[in-house]
Amino acid sequence: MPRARRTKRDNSPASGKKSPERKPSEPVEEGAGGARPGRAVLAWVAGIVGAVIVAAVGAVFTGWFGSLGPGAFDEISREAPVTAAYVKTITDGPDLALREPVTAAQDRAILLGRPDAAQHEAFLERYRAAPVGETRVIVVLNGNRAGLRIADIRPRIVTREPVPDGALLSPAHAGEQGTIEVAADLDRPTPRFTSVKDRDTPYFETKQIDLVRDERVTFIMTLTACKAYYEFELVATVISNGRAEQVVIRSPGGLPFRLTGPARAYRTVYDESSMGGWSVRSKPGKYRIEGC
Amino acid sequence: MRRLAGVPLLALVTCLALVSDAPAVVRKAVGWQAVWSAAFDNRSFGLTEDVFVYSHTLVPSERALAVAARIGRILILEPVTGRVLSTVPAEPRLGDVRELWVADEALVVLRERPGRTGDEFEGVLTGYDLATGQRLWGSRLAREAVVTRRAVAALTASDVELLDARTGATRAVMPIPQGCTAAAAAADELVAVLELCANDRVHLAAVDPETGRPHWTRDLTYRRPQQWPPAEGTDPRRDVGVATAADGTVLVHLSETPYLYASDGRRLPADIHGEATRSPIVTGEGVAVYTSIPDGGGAGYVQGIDPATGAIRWTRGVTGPTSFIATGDLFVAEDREYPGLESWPLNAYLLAIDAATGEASELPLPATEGATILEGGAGGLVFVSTPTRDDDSTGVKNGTRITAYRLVRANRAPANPPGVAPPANWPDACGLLTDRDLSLLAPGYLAYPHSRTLAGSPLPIPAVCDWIPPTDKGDVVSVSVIWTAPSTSEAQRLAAEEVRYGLAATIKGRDGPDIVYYQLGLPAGNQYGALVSVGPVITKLVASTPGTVRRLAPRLRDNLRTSAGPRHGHRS
Repeated sequence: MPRARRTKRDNSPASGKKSPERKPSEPVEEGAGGARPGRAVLAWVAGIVGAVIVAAVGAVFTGWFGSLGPGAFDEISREAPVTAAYVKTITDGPDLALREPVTAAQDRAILLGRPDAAQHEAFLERYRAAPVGETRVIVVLNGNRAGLRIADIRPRIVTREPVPDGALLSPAHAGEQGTIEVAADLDRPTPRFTSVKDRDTPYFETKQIDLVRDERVTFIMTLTACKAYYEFELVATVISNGRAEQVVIRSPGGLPFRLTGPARAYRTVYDESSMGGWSVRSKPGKYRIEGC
Repeated sequence: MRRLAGVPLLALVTCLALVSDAPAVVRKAVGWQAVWSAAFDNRSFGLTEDVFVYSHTLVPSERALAVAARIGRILILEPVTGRVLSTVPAEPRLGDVRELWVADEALVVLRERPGRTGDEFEGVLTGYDLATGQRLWGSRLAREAVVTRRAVAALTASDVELLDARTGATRAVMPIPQGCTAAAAAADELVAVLELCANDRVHLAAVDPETGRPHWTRDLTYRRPQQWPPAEGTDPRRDVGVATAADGTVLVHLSETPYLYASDGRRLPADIHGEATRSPIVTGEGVAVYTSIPDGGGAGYVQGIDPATGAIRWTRGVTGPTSFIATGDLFVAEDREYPGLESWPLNAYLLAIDAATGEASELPLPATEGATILEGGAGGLVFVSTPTRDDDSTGVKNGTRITAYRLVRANRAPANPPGVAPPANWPDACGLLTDRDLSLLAPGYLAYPHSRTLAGSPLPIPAVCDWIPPTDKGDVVSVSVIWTAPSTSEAQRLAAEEVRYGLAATIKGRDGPDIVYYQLGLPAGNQYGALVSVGPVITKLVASTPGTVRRLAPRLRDNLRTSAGPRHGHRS
């Protein structure tokens, strides 16, 4: 439930039917152009982190990647105390940094032309495309015990590297960003979710989440980074029957999430093209983002 | 012992094989055939030219097909022929039409009460005779209504009133307890009323619409959805809903939690994901079907379940948000092979799923995707309308065309579905611009072919081709073969339909009737393109700049003319 989307829907004029429920399957009309191509480009933009979008669909079926804490291997076949029913990275908005410049002929054709979603997704994987500065991850956890408590969720960094400056992909902004109050700063030595105003107080402690069987909780987690490129996963500490277990949440497809700080400049900056692909920005200049 | 026991088993297997061989004629779906088609515009509804109608409302049933604009007359059509059975006179004092239902003998209309204040919808219900269009009853105040075959459940702030659909007479009144709100859904012979109260108690009653007496009731508890971090200014409105299929299957969702009940009140163990619970549920041939599309769109699936046991009979993937209807023994959905990616292919495809077996056929309509709105179905027919548009060339204001299609079956599926040329007749998109054409822009362009899949079968030749410039700052050029029709006249008809419904803004050009230049406003800027059709082939040319489109479109047309000479089914 990306907030930007919800806002968009609320702002849209009444659709004629009086249903008070939201209708997730209704396409949101975008832009002044024909509905079809408008949607096409948006979907394409969403495809920028195509791995996430495409695999998030699969997440409904297979998208959780739980592992039990150390010492619990004898119970590995047991169902985890919580499972991720849904994992998605919000792809509205952020620029994407690529590690290497795109020079190979085939890759240029994918970047500048109109490849299909799978080709584009594989391309972004190869170049380890990472959102710049900030990313938001939505996770819906489903309780699998009669009673349990989610005591903590924190990011765990798997890889830290210098920020990439090979290329920057800058999508046309269609959605508005909501204000962020709680975030985890990956640049800190032990990243935890804190209030943005007070980076020293772990925010998770203010509310512990109790679930009964088949009950769900939605986490909308914002992560920020300025200094480096990170690959990370989320680790939930779950207490049930008096024992703590850890459940690891990764992006759909089983890969870690990615996030990078901004480079001062990128060797090439590409803007979203109205044809559906990307086109080179003629005078990219220095790169800055708010908050870094 | 074991060997002996095997003999009757073998005999039985042989017998079964013989028996199942006997009626082996499985009739294959071969195509959609138009049964009737009729055009309507402001005059059809008794409206003057200056009245703007954004869209028309269609409500099909086996008995009648009701067609309404926002105001004006309501037309009641004979669903099998499209003939106008009767006309409901305009009721200018009652307000704009909000919703319509076709009961066994009556048309029920909910209109928005004019001059209302406040946020809550206030409406008035009226009933009309299907055969004559005469007002039978009304008007009754209601915020919402649901309609069974013979009864109307009218929801007001304080009660649910059950009315006779034919006479409007009140049969029963069910007060809504203080502090509670109600939602309702109707099946053929049942009204499901869901009450949600301040203490998070939820009461579900499946009511006999004739008497108001509950067939069965269930008490449930609403658990507030948990969210972290807690969102500021969260909507206090609780996310609950109730849906029914015609046979009386009831689907309730309380936030993310679904509850599925058979018509006799048994809870069914169907494995329905949270996001599926907000989609409609339909039945046919004793199978209940719902769609599940993830929040925010994307590929999902359709599942048929046995309402007796809750067992899943079959599952089919669908490519994205879609209308979904039941008609006869079929479930039908609009299907997009490439949702959101681009406008390919040109024609609309309908996915028809056999309710009993789950066997699916994807077949094209003789209409473009942009001109096709799947409205509903009844009695084995599928009703499709075009978007409401003016046609200045013929003076039509707010025109729409409604077409009824029937799925045609045959003992043997044809090699090629009707309405589309065989794959071998589709030209190679990369052959439609030559190196010489591209050298008009710059030397060193490279062609990148993209294959496309038509109704599940890959086309043997690339239907899309990108030309990538030697430097990143050059113009990118892309050609898509969006359709190849069986004949030139059919292609011309489809191209005209695409110009009318698929291209928002066309630009005047001087390159003849085969080329239509267009421009589309997108978040990333304007897209410039040309629809180029020659003979049976319809293509789209897109480039980074309008100048490039204008330079290359005539070349594309000329190349199509050359390649569209006598064809022998194979490319050279």
